[in-house]
Amino acid sequence: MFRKLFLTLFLFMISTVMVAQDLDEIIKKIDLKLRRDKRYLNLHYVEYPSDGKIDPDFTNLPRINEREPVSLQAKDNIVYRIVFLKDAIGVDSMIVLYVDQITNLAGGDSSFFGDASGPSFDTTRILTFGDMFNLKNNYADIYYKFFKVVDKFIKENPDSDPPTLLRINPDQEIQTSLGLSSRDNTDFLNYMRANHPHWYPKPKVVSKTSRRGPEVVETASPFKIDATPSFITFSHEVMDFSLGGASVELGFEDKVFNVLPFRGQSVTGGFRTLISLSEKKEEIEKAVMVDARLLARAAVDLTGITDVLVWNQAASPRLNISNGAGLDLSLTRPFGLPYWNFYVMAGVIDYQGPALRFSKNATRDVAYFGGNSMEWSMSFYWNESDSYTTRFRMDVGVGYHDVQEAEYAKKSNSKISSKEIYANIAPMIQFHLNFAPEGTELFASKTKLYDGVIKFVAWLKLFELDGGHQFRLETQLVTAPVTRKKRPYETAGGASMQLRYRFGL
Amino acid sequence: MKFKVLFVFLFLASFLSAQDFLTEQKMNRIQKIYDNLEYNTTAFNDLKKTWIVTDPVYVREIYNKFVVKNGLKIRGKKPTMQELRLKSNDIYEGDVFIDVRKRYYDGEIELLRFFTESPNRESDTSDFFFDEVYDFVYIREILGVELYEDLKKQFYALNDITKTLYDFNYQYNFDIYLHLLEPEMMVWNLTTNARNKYLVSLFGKWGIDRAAMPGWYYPDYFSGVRLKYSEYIVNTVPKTTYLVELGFGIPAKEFSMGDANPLNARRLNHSGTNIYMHFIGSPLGMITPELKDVELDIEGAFALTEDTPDDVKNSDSLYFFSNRNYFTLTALYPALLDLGTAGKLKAGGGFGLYDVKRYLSVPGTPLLEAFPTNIPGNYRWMFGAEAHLEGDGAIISHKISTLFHYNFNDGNGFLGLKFFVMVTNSIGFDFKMFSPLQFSGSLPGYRNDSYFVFSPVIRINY
Repeated sequence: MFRKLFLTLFLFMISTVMVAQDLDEIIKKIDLKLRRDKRYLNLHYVEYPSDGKIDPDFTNLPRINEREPVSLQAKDNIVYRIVFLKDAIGVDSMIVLYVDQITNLAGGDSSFFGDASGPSFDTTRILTFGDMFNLKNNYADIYYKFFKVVDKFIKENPDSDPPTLLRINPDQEIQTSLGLSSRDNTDFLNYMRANHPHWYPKPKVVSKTSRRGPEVVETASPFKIDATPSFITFSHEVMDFSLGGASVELGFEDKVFNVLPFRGQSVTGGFRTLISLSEKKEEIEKAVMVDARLLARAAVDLTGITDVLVWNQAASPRLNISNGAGLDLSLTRPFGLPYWNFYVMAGVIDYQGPALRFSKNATRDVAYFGGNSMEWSMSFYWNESDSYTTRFRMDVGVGYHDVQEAEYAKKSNSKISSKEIYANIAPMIQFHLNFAPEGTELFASKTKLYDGVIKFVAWLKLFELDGGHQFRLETQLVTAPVTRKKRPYETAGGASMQLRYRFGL
Repeated sequence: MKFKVLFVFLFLASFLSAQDFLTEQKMNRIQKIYDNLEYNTTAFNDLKKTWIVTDPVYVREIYNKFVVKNGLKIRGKKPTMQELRLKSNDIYEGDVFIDVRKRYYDGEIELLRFFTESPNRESDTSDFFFDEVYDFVYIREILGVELYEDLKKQFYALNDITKTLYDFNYQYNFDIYLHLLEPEMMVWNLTTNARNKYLVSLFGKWGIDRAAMPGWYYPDYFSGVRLKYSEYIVNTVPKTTYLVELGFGIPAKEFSMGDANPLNARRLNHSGTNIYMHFIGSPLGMITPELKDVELDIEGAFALTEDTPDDVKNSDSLYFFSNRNYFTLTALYPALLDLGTAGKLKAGGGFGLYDVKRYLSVPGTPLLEAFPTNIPGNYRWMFGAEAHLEGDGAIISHKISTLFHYNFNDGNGFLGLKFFVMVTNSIGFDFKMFSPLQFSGSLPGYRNDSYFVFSPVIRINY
């Protein structure tokens, strides 16, 4: 009888000891986690004392594991960090977890080097979670004092969260499974600032020199330039006006005809203006903007200089693009519609002495002239995620161009006859990809399919010098027609490569 | 004496029991504190990077570390040496694997779980071996920094079982539907009450499926404006109540896909400007509620002008057929049968008519010459029946259709099969095939022996 009773009692005692062991183990785990996990701890802290005075009860605080009691000290270079857990699931109150003592070595008497060595901090955990657990269970009045310090801070600062130990930033790392597309002009502006040869306004960049130092507003350069051998734009702040800004351009490229730079035997100059139609001009993310370019095109003989200016690997050109005048318009979401792009160039063909002519037979030559051209499209923007690292754009629309064929007697610059050999509307689709890790544009490409020909343009950022001088390597590729046979004025395609310099954009 | 002993025993037992209870309470509370230390990412548990370590030697390495540090538990208790020996047999057989899961934001390992596929498993779960081990700090403490970092690097044999994100929800910022035969580009939307949408799109349509003239066998590419009314948009697939299309036909180039057989070339030519109209809706519900689910589909194209030989641009005299007008009326029951994951069955039937004219184009003459036929007005009446099995899933959406077409005037019939599939509503394929039925006999000159069209599909919807 007695044996059984004592055996039962013994088992009771053993189980109590085992539970206590488990308790010790988990306390150790918590202490370990609090020491080692530097990023994921969802804990807050308050700094004590806030008024330089230490509560007299915070002296000789008992500690576990036979460590000496500790007292909080009122010194200028010492601050205590009381770390606590709040809003825990299944726990009905706030829990004080531990106390760290932070000593500013540079500011204290013990510093040999004074301020010259800069701020240096020594952090010591004077009360661990195990100590605090012991205080809570055996010295509740002391634990309650710590609790009151935290509680007082929270009540005195109801509108702000206490500082946190969390080192991840979930608010800035929000991920979406489906990507996103902005409902305002953000995507459009991101794209234009990275790719458009003309200037688009940027928000003022504010940087702080130090934690408590004055704010410094980065001022934009008074002039902006984007230059490649085949295309240059320039603007200066004197060209800005109340509704927007202006710039000028000169180039040897064509928007509609499927030709490489310098291969169209024409030069185009233009005046560009960006106008905000909204009342609040500074809110460009929401504004309806008109980007308009007035263009004039002149036929010039570029044979012979093409390969000197840029690296070219292309079949000999066959098309003379004519004189002309035109307009290129972009609108940001008019009436809630997608972004609109409209380009029209009315050509005036001068048949006299074409730059490119080809032998037709023993007595006749033939030359091909690109005349009118038009392109209308709507643009759509989207991003892989809210980090805006991979950005996409698609233009869907139609294009039009016409081509004339003229015949010449050998050694004569005057045409004998001319006829239209092509005039058609064809669908146009263009896919853009921009890669901008951490907001820095690194690479971009656009692939356009129009009239059965693929045109590919890409640039890669090479380097950026101090002051914002940016250098890119740009390549263009035009294929032979992929969905039909080659027409007489077309070539087998080719590629070119050139350096692009940007400043102030 | 016995009484006293019993009293002391009861006192001690109740005292210890109370102590035990208090300690248990503390344990629970402290466990909750432990569980709350980390930033809670429970919502992302299924999306966290997860893999199974399958390399048996590497599994032993990790297992042994846990044995040495006594870091394993079975149902919250440390295992006995006997239990460890028994379970180690599974390790020797290579039947034990490790589930590993990373934290969502910083990539540290938050969970490690041994499991087995051997007979030594516990009876209540299929693969229970030891309790899961949570907390990267504790796991690293057990494994040591070097082995822990190696485990993160994944250089050993493993199976990645991270859930791949897939889903689609219809969005209304823009919708580009790149489809050779039926493209659509949504350009504008409007909401007039809490959940409806009016959607305006530009659309294209190549071919008349109900007349068995699909895709590039038809000479006109209809394009225009589409107005779609969806009365309820919260669901993944909005319920479209009304659709109205208005457009016109653009002469479409012959599209043979390199087909060497001239017999399969297109037999119909464009012969004039036409206007295209299409309506889908359930207006019969306004007449009688019993018919509210019946969907009417009315479609037609009507010629407005007639081309001249100059428009045809032929250099020699040319005979050709042309379809200038057509009209179809079809009634469909949208949800005839719900076949679960296979989709919903939609079926119906209708009638229609279309004309086919035979022209002669002689260069230099002012007008096309139309040849008389034995069919009054050149109109062919047809009857059709169709069934569609349509399903929308997060990964795959599909529509499989069969169409039967019978032409009373020509006395022939065609059977069509259409297969459309989209993956995550972003990329897909559409395929249509029409073949004459056996009783059709010899087909009229404007007909091909069979029809086969297809198109890749890309959809960008935000």
